[in-house]
Amino acid sequence: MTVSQAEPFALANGASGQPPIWRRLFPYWLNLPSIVILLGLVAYPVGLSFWISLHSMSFRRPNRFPFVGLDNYLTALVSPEFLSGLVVTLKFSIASVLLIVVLGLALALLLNVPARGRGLLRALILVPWAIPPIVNATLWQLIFDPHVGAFNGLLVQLGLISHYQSWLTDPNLALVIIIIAHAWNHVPLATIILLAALQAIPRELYEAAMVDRTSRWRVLRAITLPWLLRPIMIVMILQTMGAVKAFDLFYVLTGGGPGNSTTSLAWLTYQTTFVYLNAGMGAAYSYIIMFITLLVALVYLRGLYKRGDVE
Amino acid sequence: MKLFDNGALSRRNFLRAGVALGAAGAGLPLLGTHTASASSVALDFEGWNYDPQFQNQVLADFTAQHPGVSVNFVAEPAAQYIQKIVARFVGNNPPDLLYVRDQTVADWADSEYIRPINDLPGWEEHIKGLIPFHLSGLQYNGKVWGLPYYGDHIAYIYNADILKKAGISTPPVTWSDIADQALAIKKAGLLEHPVMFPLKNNAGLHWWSAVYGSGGSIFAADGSPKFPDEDPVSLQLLEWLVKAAQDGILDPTSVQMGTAEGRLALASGQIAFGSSARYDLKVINDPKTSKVPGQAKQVLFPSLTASGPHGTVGWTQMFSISSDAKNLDEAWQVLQYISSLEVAKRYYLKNGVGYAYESLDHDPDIIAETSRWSDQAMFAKQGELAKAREYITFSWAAEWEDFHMQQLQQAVVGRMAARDALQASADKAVQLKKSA
Amino acid sequence: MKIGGIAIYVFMLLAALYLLAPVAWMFLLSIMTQSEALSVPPHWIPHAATFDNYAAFFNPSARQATMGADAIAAMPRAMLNSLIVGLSVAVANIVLGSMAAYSFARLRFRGSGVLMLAYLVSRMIPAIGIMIPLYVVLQKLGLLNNIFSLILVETTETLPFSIWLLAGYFRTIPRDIEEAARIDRCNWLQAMLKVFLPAATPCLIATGVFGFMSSWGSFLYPLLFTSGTGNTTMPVIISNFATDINADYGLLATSGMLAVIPPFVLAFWFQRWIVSGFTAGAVKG
Repeated sequence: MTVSQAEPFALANGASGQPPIWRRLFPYWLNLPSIVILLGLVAYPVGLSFWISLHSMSFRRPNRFPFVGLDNYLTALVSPEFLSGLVVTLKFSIASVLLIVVLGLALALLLNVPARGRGLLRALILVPWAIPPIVNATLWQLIFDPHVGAFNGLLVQLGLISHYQSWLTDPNLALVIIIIAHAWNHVPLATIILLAALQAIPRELYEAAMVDRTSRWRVLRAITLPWLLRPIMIVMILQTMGAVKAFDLFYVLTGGGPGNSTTSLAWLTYQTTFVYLNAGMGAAYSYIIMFITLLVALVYLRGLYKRGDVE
Repeated sequence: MKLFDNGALSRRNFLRAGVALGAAGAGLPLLGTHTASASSVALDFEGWNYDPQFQNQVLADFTAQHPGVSVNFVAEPAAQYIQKIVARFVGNNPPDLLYVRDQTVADWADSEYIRPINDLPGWEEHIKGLIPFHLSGLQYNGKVWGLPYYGDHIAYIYNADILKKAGISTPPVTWSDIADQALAIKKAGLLEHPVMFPLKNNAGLHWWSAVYGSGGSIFAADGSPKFPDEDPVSLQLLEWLVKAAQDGILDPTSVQMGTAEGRLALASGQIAFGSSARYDLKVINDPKTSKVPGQAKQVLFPSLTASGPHGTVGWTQMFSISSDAKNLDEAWQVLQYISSLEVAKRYYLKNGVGYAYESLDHDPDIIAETSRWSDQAMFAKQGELAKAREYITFSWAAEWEDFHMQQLQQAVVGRMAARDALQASADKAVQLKKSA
Repeated sequence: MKIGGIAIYVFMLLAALYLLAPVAWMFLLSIMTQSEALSVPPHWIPHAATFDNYAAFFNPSARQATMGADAIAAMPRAMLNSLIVGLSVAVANIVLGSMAAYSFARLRFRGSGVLMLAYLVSRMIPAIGIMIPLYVVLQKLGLLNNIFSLILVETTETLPFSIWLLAGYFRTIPRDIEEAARIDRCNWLQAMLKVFLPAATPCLIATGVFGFMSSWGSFLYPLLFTSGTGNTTMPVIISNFATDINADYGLLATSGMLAVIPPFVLAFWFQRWIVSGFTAGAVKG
């Protein structure tokens, strides 16, 4: 039995004497706490931050803050720091999102195989998820430490390198290590979402394939992956939002270096706001980051809700 | 309140107006700021987390003598201290007393976060007999902005055991000595990369020390850069580092090394030559925290030529009173107590961190403590040669230094010529100076 | 088939290694002395394993001499604060999230699409950019140095995702069960509490765990919005061990291990529901 979507409030209250205005307002009442919180703690700070971004405001000399219009944005967009930060953010986001999707998919497929020990592995997947970001950052710092780190020790003992190396000093490698550490921390959530999707695949789909004696690889390509397209898209949206904002690892592992090879936009924003105390510029950077995220998310959402099943 | 009478909209009014505006728009209830009115005076004191237990002990001693005053000391993570303080002042929620590093004195004085002590009774007494670099660190714009907490200098350190094993009998005096000895150590198979030089973004102290070691200068008083040409020391030093990297004697980790990583590298016994905060010798020579206890020795900071002057950077940290302190008299009492010579001595005996008082150099207890893990004569001698960094009053210092260290890193990893790197940094300084 | 079976186990072993090895190294460091932690090559099996670092957290006075003593002493309280914040955020997400999600899943109202978009967009704002304005707001509300401020801020951070996740799940719950409850003369609230929400249990749990995990690891908010050892949270205290002055690998690693245990226990406990709770969000959204 289906209840039509057009019947808005069939279950609202048994009493028929409810004034219609109350009924009409009911959904808004349900959203009221969330809206109040978001207005006060997101919309308002974002508004104030936008106002600050239109001023030349430094926390060093906070008594002077001339209105400069869009100057901060124009300065940001043409500055070499911004451009290289944008490149770092793009590289980091694309690589880590792809890595997370690939690893998350592999782990989800593995965890979906009916084999002994699967329960244990499902528990282990929760371990990286449980690691707070700041612990994750120090954890990888301890592993890649150039003088006493485990990674060096392991490679030397395996005979792969002759003496300890400094992994974070190579401009390209430093970013790769941050990507690896970030992915490790975020793979579990991706795995859980993808595993949830895998378990929801209707049995009939597979049973049909079994009858046809289709090879495992064909089943994966013809049934599983198409089914997973949507959840993968969701993972990508969530991870992109996270990656563009990522901050802790840059802070602890490289501090943006060597050179500016790991100075991402989020890190640049932090430096500008809290170290150079240039509030106006920092606010402008945040707006640019927000705009980029929004743009990317809209692209995903278009793909996601193309078929019009958005409510 | 002075912030209101300068005609312009003040920082706080600015944010307040913003809050009122936004809150009205958002329908957010505005609760008035409430001021606590207690019978006894309670002071709010904020610092970073270097041995807060000790600070609490000192404050407890103070309160025992002054029952009417209580001090609530809060220790923040050292690495985020500036951010935290800025948030408190910008958010109009300042502490009464606070720790201040010498490089933020100018900013915080100009921003009216902290007040000078020159109008407080007996202030002159407290700055007599201070080691010169400590005294200069307390001053800005002809005023004194706080009283000394602790400070120290960057020490050049070598590992005596490794030098002995390589058959080297005299510690290095010049950078070319270091190159020769490091090559000998490398050839003897003792260490792969014997020299470290912290070059991470936050490790500018070491670069300044090296420049001072050779008698160089980085900025003129007006903030114009003297490198790469007017004063050649920067360029010669960077060329030395680039060559050391090419010869494989410079630990490549150096470009991602700060003071903490450098200290750990020294303590792990994998480095023969490097610089660190002088008090780190205590940790590096302690068997509980080091693989090479007793082997780390201090020498005067090396120079490019044998003539010296072997200077280094000295920095100081202080206690200051915030401009908005409600109980000025009590705050001043606390300030005088916690910055006293007696407390500085107790502090040294416990943690080995440097003091601002010249007379303590000859204190028998201090000498006995230092000789447990270092050399008092060397401490005093290098301390006399130490100077504050020339840029600490420039508002753009932090931004320039980040950029500068990035250029040094680029040069050392071979992505940029030494001269171009310094030129880029000099250009950046000029640009920052202009837009400041 | 046989080979396939072995391959599966090889992969599972690799996966286990990948997931566990980094934490295993942290655990090893936590049972070493600082001096042993500096060994080259590293001691994969500690020569002198010690639980002193753990003991220090339970009996802080034993480590008076160390620099990190103050941070150690602050850890139990900070853990408690983190737990309070985490659990409150979890509950707030479940309650507020369910309310909003129900409206999207069951009711039609003007502006619902825009509202959902607004929720999602609020997730895209970098926290760093609004940190100072947020500080000013909390100061005006008199909530600084109060863990309630953290509960509020963390709820704000996590709520949009929770609403989206719950709305997806609610749509998969057949309307029949509410109808049935109606026939039993339940009013709307009773129908919600007795029938509808129990049917959504897995997703409510997943939402709660997600809220807990996010706030448990948050660092910059508690750093700026709380002061002192009484009302700050675990990540701030951990950063004390990582700052240059106090660097002690053993204590750093131990604090990290302690920080991992509560969220792991929570996630492990609710493991079964978490995966199914995410199903609707993943498949239907």
